[in-house]
Amino acid sequence: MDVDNKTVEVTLENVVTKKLGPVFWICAVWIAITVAAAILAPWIGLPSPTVVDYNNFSMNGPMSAAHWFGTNDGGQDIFARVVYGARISLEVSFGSMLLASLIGGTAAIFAAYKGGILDTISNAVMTLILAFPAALAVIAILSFWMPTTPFKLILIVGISGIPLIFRVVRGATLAAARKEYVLAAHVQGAKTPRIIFKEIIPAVWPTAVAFFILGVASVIMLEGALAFLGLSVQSPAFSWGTLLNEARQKIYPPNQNFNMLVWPCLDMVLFIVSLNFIGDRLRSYFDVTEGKL
Amino acid sequence: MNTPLLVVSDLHTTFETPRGLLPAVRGVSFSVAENQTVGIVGESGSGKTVLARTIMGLQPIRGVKLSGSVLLNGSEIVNRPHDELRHLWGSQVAMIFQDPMTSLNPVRKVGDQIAESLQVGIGLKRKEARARALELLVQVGIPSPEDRFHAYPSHLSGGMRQRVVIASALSCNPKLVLADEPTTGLDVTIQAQILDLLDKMKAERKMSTILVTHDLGVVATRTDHIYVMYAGRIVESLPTADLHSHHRHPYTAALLNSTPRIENKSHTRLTAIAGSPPNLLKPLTGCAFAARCSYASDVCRTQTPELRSDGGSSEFACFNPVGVTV
Ligand SMILES: Nc1ncnc2c1ncn2[C@@H]1O[C@H](COP(=O)(O)OP(=O)(O)OP(=O)(O)O)[C@@H](O)[C@H]1O
Ligand code: SF4
Ligand SMILES: [Mg+2]
Repeated sequence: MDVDNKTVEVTLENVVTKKLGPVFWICAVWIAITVAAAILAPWIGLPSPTVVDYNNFSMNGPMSAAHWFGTNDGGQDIFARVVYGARISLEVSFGSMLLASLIGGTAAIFAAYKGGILDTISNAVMTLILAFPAALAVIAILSFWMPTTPFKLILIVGISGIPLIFRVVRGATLAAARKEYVLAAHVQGAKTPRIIFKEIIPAVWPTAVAFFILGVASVIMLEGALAFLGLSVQSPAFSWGTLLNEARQKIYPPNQNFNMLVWPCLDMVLFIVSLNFIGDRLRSYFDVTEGKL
Repeated sequence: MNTPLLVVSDLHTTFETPRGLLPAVRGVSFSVAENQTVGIVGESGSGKTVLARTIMGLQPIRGVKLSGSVLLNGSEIVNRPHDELRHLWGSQVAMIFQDPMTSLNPVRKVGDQIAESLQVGIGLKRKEARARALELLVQVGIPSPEDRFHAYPSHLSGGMRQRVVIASALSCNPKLVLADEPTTGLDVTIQAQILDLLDKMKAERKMSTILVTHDLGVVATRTDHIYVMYAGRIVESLPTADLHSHHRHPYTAALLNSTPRIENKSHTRLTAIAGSPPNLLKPLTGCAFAARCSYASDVCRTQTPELRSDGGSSEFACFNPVGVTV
């Protein structure tokens, strides 16, 4: 049989060519810089965030070459504190989302793919838990389990995030499992683990990643809120949230130090906005791709 | 002739739906000999897909009641768990799905998908599987197969994707292939190419084929035998050569009337058969086609016509058969 090349040509017009756009990449770079700085903080020549600089000592000092964002009421470098403060915020947000995704995501994929009573029950349980406001539960547990450490935060926030992740991943898995290519793999003799790893997970991960990023952003905000209630990490440890909480009392005389408030706030807000933007873009990017295919 | 490759006897598939029992396949019997190509034709909703999937053993365990028997090369398929059927899938029986858009994984390269079916199906090593997959791409007539091997499905046209689907389904040399509307959604010239390709593969590999379609035009030239399905039953069975001249069932006649002619522009709406198929959730009395049949008489509404032979190799289920003899 001869093939008519004309009609079996690749139709490039049909190929979905979409761009993520420049803002996406600016946000991505900003996130990368913030994360890298936080990880590498001890090695990039920052002043100490805790030890006071007695050579250029000043309480509530102004912005200067030695102290880019000025100093706080204890004479500590605010820039260094912002960069170091990101460490606990990032640790807690990424850590708890990883925990939630590993447990919630894995459970969701297996339950949804296997279906049956296991899926029905676990879904009902997760829906029930979701009806409780997770933030309140986190506050309640933390206030009975002082002092707060990053580990406790990861554990509690992570567990409270499981139901949400479960629901999202379950939905994506059900959608993927209905696809004919999964059935096709099945009738070509593929067993369940292979189908899950080769067919389901590749289809589910874009949704999961987008949701993960949005989740990280909301955990950073949650940590900020906990810090306002004094329920985040305790001094001398500090995070973006506790920096803001400290600053809250210091914008009035006698200190009246706006640098303490503005810089951590700006950094945190820009970071959250970037995460949200990226998460949203990824979500719609992957959604549209799926719709087109 | 020795025993047929596939023997389906009195097959029933009933779905337990929230609104009651839905008998989608209601007592179907037929057989497919080695090397034979049969067509199963019927309107949308007549149960063709359900029948094909039941023959594959693909019905879910829950929510479906099966009875009757499907013997593939002597092995019973009905009510066997998937684990016991897996060794038959791929090497004995394979299925080509309707929609090439959804039967390939959009996020995996097509070459890898074919290679994988070889790794899973006949245990080839990765390297051999990839080499074999490339050969298959050549066999199904994909131009510059080395490049296409690394393409994602979205980079291929519908016709090309269906070629990939065929390559993948046939990779483990199945004895029987079920093609469920393999060309629906493709335009007419490409439909013909895909059907030609199936014919070619069938001839080369000596496979038996079941071609499922709602289009009599498709099966009229490419099959040995045709089964016409209506509301979950076979209402007429006849050699393809007799289709135009010796059909007896009014439903077959109506389908023939609604089949596209060459002179019609493609995609023009056909004179569909007036009325719609019966609601299978309600119990049926009499002939399922009675409400739409212009030959219907009183007996049609009270008694169910059984398949009966016309003396030759045809059978039909009708009290007032069309008397075409040309
Ligand atoms: N999983 C299911 N649960 C309940 N009912 C079903 C299920 N699958 C199919 N049916 C019903 O069985 C009947 C036959 O459907 P089937 O898909 O086999 O038709 P078909 O002949 O393949 O039609 P089409 O040309 O549209 O593909 C329909 O009434 C359909 O609603
Ligand atoms: S049995 Fe009666 S109603 Fe049914 S197809 Fe024949 S003539 Fe029509
Ligand atoms: Mg169908």
